[in-house]
Amino acid sequence: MFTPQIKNITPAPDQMKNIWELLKAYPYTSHTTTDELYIEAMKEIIRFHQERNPFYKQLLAYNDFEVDQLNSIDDLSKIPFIHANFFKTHVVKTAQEEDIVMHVTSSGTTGQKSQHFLDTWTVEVMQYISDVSQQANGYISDQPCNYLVFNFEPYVGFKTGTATTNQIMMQYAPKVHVNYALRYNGQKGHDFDSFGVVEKLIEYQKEGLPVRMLGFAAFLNFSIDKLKDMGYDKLTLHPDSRCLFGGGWKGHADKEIPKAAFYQKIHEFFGIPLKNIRDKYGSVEHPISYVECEYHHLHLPTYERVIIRDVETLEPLGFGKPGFAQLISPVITSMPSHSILMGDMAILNPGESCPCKHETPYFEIMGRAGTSKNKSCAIAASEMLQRK
Amino acid sequence: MDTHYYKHLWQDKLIKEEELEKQIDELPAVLSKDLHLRLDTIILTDACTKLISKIKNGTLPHLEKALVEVCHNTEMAQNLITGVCEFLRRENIMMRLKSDLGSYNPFDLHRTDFSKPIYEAWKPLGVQIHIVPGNALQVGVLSMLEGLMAGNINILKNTSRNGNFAQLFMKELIECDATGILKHFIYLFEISSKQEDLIQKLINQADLVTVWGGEEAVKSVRNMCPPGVRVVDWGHKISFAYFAEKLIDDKTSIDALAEDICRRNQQACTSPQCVLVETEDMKALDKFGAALHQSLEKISPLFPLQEHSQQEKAEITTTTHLQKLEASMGNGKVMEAEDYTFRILIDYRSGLQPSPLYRTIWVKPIQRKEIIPVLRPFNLYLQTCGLAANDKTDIYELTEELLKAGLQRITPIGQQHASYVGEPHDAVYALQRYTKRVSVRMQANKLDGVPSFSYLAPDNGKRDLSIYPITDKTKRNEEVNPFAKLYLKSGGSSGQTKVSGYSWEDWDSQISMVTEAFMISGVGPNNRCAILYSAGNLYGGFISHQKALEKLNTTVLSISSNIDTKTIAETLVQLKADVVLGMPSFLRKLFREEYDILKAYKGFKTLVYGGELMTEEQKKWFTTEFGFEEILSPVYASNDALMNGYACKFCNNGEFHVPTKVIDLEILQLETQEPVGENEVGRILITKKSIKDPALNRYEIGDLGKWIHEPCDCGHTSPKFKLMGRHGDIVRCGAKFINFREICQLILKNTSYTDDIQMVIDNSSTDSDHITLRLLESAKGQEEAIIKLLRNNIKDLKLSLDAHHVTLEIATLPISEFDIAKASGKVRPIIDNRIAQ
Repeated sequence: MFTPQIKNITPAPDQMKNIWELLKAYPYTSHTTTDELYIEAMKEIIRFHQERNPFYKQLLAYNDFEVDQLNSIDDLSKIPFIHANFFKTHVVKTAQEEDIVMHVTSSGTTGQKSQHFLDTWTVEVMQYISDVSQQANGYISDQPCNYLVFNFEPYVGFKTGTATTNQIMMQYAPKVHVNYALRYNGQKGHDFDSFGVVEKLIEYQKEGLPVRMLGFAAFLNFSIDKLKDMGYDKLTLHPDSRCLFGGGWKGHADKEIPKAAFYQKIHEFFGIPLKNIRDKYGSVEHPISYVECEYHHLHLPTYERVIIRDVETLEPLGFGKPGFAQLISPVITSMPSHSILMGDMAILNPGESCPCKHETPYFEIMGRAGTSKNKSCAIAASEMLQRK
Repeated sequence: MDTHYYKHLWQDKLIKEEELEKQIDELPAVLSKDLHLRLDTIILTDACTKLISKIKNGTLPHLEKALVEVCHNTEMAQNLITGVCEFLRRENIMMRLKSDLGSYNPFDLHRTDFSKPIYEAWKPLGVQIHIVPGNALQVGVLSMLEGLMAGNINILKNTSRNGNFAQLFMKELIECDATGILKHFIYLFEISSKQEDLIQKLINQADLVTVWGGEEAVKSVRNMCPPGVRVVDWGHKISFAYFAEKLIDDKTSIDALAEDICRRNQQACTSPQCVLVETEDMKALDKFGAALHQSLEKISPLFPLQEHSQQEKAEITTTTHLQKLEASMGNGKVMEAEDYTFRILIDYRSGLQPSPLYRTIWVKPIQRKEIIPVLRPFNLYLQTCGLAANDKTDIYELTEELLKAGLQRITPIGQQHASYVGEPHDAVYALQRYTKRVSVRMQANKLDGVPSFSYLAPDNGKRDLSIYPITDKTKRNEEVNPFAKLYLKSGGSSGQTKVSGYSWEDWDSQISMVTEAFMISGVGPNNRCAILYSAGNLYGGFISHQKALEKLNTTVLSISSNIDTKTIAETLVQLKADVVLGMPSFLRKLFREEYDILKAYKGFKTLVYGGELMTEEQKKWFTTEFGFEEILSPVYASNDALMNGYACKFCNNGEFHVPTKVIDLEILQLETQEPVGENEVGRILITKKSIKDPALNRYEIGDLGKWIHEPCDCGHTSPKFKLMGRHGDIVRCGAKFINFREICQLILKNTSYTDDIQMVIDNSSTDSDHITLRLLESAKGQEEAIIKLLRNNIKDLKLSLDAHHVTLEIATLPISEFDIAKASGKVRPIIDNRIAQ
């Protein structure tokens, strides 16, 4: 355990003092210890948006919601929420144009891209939460590393959220070499460079430094297969090497293999200990990162709350039942995505169910909520490729 | 009982999983061998007819059970089976062939123009693979049946989610086929999409792949197909409803829309997902939404709900929630049923929007002039529009605009799900996509007298009819034809007038045969044909010839026999007739009465007669006096079966070929139900290949005949027979069978007498039978000679006369004293006055 030191964050205005206080808590301390503070922080963020964002003000009115209805943590479910898909069709900012420091789009594997705008405060808090979560999970090290990023190679003007996250992830251990698997092809697109990946992995192995592999799991899986096809049974890397995935198997869902089998495959091929192979959950819609613990559970940072809601009635379900995941955080100021209904189904489990030392609950992502195609012969929205 | 759950059907054998791979490896060899087989439509429809009756009798409960296993709903299973049975009915299959492929015999290479040796036909493509998605319980069976209609060898890739209903159903269909041919056209395998190797092996054999499902399924199948393989995709579609401005307050139309939303829980591609309302006033749109809400509250409980998965519920919730966010911004309204059974998503922005289904309907505004731009992004997916419009101007404008925008079907509001036999499927006729249109050209002289290739098929007329029972004549007479649209009466040489009803479809197919019979006999597009049959009064003679000659593209002079002979003769001359068609008795009268005009004309080439017989003497009169080059009777017909025979140029008097496209013909022994031996005379039985008319199987038409076994010089392979008189011509009298026709032939051939003959048989309780042969007075003085002639030539008659079992007398009388059939004016050949003893 360590005491988080808030650094690199522009001090919050007075009206956000509870949020500031909340951020001082250890990232995985039990929710009950921060509940009161959390509710106060939520009141602050709701007012913050209500005062600055006409859409949000209208939404609260439409739902007959007033901040005073929040008296205890039990009232949390009363906070109106916005579905993440809403941002695919609407640009809704709370921050003033001049305060926006980052503009990202969702990686857009299903066609429509959603747009997100981050101000300085949100970016700094996002990075802070990432830092302390990584620190609590033992990811921060002074040992220089080689990086292999299974994500889009950045170029000037590139705005994908997951790519931004990867830049942050590379700050936790000194960089020696950085290479990308999805190379910019110069025509505003990216191609998977399988031979490049193979070459770099062989080079990295010879170099003998720990290797950190980040990004889309699917491409690491393809790369292992490629190496196997080329005659490599294994390619043992430094034992302090790590994998930290993000972005799931988007676009390659048909090739997805179960997580445990995939981790085992990595472990056997590269010799990386299973506890060093982790996934991460986060989204541009709600840019707070959730990192797997050594038992591969996604614990909520204590600055976050999750409500699982019934897929039909949207009633809160509590622990152990699958439903929509509503993510709630008091730290996002640039957009009203502090209470957001994700397009994923999830189950929430109490912290005690995991043997690790984190005290907060953890959730399991069960995949996309909803259908991408209909079983009947009636076409589904996602199947229809509209004329441009 | 075998309780194994079979997943695969290999021809007529259900096979187990462990046999599958081995069997599929054998497939290429088996298919290569079987591709020479021909699946005649009649084989398919016979099996279907039998299967329907088995299902209706409840003898195949396992089919319903197999469906219930997967859909968990007995009512739904029963409805699906009823729907499939409807599809299987012969008349529906025949109508499909006609609508999709333009003919009841689409696979027969036939002349597109009778004057040219150019032949076209639809032919099966060969091997057809069907790939169906899960949750498409009956689609596999229906797709297979379409493939069978097209004559292809069919292989279905089924999925476990559909259970094994299709496999069991097809097995039963094969069981119903008495010919043993059908099984070679049917294979069904339950193969998971993951078993790509097996699917690839199947696709490698395909000439045609039919794939049902979404874009992804279609794409992955396309990728597996070698180039050139035809892929027919029945992809997902979107349908909607449209309210013209004048009807946006119409409660009846709104109720009808509510029914279409609920009827199939929007699970069909025909289901409305969106309703476009013609208005610019958003208050009016809200009002429409409220009215629809009322309708749905009333109508939703009347239709069973369909259970849906968590995922599907999530999709609905997401869409509804997003629309609530829009509503908060003033972009629409959301109205939900409290029990979550339906929801209305009103959106003030125009456009089409797919719904998450299960009674979720988008309500959106539209302006008529915006139809095309609004629908343009979706035009490749558009299918049905249920249209609420009242006046003709609206209907015209909207129909035109919607079709231009990409719609394929327009139906009344509330009837989007209904369909009709022969309706195009996703804007095409499916069977055309499953077949190829072929052409064959040959030198004219090589295919003279061949209207279509079926006349040359080696198996022509070799159908096994013993599977049918012989039709009971009494029952047949009581039968009512529910499809009758045309009533015709027979002249009835037996004396009785009989009216029979025919469907237009059967009538048309019969007339096509008459047309071909004329073409075979040499009448063609260059002839000028005068039809001199009696018209009207329920007679078929005139109208049948009129239609047949129209099909043949000859010049037709529609004269009839109903007017005075002078006018007829003048018209023949004036309009330069070279072919005359009529009944012999009328033609004799006409040419006798208008002798001078017609003798002087010198333009006649062909006389075509029917309805009665003509003696050689009579024929000679026409040729020598009036210059006819040939005298033909190309059609042998009866009221029950219509077309029973056609005469080619090489048929002698009384000889005919069997028109196997419309009937099969058998000759059975006089006293038994066994086929006749070589040269043996027997009873003629007809089996009619009806389209809609009631089946007529092995029906005795009362004529006698014998087979002619020598191949005919015309080259046709259709069986050839010789008519040997009426069955009724054989009269049992004086303890022997006496053949009236034989008597007539002896007299006409050996004496100078050439006119009518009537045989009257009398008896009393004590005396022997007495035969009076009535002849016209021209026979006076020849009586003794005739008796002697008959006695010497008819062995059984001589024996009878010698034994005094019978007496024979010749009476010469004026025609007025003959018994004449009232309806037709024909001389009745036999009058049996004997009282039953």
